[in-house]
Amino acid sequence: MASSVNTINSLLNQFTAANNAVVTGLQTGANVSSAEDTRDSIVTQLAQQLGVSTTVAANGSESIYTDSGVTLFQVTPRSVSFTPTATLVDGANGGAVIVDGVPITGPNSPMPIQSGALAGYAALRDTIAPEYQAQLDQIAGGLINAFAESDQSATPTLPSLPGLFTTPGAASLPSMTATTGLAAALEVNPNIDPSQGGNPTLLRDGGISDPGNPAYTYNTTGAASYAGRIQQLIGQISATQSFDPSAGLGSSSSLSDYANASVSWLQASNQQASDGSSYQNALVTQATSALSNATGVNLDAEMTNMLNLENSYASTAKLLTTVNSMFSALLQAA
Amino acid sequence: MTTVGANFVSTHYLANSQVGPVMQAQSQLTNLMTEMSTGEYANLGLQLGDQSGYELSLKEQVGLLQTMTSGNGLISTSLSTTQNALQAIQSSAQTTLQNLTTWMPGANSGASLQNMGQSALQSLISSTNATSGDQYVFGGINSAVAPMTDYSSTPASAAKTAIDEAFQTTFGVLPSDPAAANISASDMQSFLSGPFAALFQGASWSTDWSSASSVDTSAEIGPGQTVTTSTNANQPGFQQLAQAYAMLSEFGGSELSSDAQQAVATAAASLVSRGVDSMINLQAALGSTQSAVTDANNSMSSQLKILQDQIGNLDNVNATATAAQITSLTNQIQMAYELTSRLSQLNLAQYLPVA
Repeated sequence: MASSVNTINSLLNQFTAANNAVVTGLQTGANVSSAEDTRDSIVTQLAQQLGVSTTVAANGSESIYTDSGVTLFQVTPRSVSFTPTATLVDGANGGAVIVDGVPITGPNSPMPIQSGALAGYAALRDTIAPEYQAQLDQIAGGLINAFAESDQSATPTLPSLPGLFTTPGAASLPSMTATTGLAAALEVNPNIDPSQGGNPTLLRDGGISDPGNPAYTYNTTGAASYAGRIQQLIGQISATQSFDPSAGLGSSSSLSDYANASVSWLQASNQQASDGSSYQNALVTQATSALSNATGVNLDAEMTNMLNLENSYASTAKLLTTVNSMFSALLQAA
Repeated sequence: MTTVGANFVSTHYLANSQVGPVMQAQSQLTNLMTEMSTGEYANLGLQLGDQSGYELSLKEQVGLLQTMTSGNGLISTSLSTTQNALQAIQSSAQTTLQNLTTWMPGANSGASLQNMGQSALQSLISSTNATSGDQYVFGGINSAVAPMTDYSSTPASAAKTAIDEAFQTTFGVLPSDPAAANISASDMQSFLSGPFAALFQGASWSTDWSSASSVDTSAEIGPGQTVTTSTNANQPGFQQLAQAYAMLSEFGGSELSSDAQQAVATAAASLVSRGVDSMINLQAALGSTQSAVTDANNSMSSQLKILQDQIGNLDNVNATATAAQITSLTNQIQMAYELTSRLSQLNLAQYLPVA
């Protein structure tokens, strides 16, 4: 986004020079075609970065506005500013792009831009990526809750704790409404990971959360073929649990359905973007051909015109020669 | 400047008109080549869109069914092992029963009772400790430990010590003591059905004889179909047979009177015959589990086929269609090249005589 903003600023400066050349040229009556061409080409490049519309004033000065109506250039360029954030922490919003004091991207923008590369970057950063992150965090939270261990005592008094999946230093189950950053912190419980000195049989027996506390042990006899806990875990993956509806995938679903829905959401967005892109491409091709036909020339037509001019020049010359020889004959006769 | 009309085409556009289509065709061509060689869509997610989640859930089901099917393989093996062991126990019990029916009290008849009991007990213990893989099939969920303790080990096993103690408590002598000859048949009978029988039940059985868990293993053999997949050595049949064989081996060769021996043989025969019935019941129960596993496998394999067809419909590329598309794209690109070259020739200057 920062490089896009830099491009916009440098294009606006170039545009200032070209626009001034046009205005002064018109006042002094000089040929301004070349300066106008430069100006058009700069607007084209600018339009790749963000959607623009232009108007031309009576004195020939051209003004540029964003497609949302914020002034980018009117006699002088307006400042386009953006403060990049080096690393965005989970759930934080990046800075907005500000034109002439008005934010044109982000959720707080009164006049958000609709198209161009900058709008795409902003949509990805401010809308799509955070939503996908929220979904991943929800999946992580659902995973921890599905594999949670409950107090197995006859009269349970202790709270349920994270089992196979946990986050570093977690002392309780995560709340599904506050899962920000959970997916990044998710880890396999060190108590069960042999490479970290854990005991993998706890997966069968339970007690991953707190190996020292027998209250969380499901397989109290330590029997080798005890499958109750594992069957319970398998069931948990497809059991309905609640999710935060603000992640956009509903509030109640099984963990595996939720994860599948998230993939569907992402790929549907992918498909939509791709469809939109091919539609825009077709539009560009059409517009370019129309523009080229409107401003370009047909060499054959020009050549024909030139031949016509050549012929008329030749016949005029011939006529002159004839008149000249007629005069000479007349003068010699005298 | 020429009039710009509906039919006006600028030379610049004419010359460049083929660039866009060619680029598009080339990028499609690379995708199609990938699809042709891999058999799957070049960008599956883009192709399926919001159906991607459906595809994933299908693949998840396929994975689940495949896992269950391979798990069922293990269960089948262990069930066959169990059936074989039960068959061996049952046939050894039948043989013992036949021998007992033809047995008559007489000289040295005690020794033959004892032999009968010892060999049958040994065969019972070794069959009960049958393993499938590294699991003891009669251990219930406690499958890592041999379910039946060796009886004739040195030093004397807990089971043997307990029997000797019970005998001593009741009659005041050991079975090998010559004074044991004074024990009447009815006293012997009440001992066998009283203190002796108690050693093969409840806590005594779990302490002296069996390490098995009374909880049988269970497994999900098909989606939502959980069945008990084993039996355990705490079933009454094992207790009855162990009781019968132990009384034969302990009191057969002893100094008991022939009447008392007759009482032992009768009690043993009745126990063995009940034990055989019990084994047959176990075999029948496991047999129905075996057929349930086979049925589950059959239904899962047809379900797998349906699911895989469905996945194939979603993500497999039709090779014939792709080949046809590649051919047509190649033609299209060639045509575009041809056109570009022709168009570049299409220039009025070419046709003017050199001045």
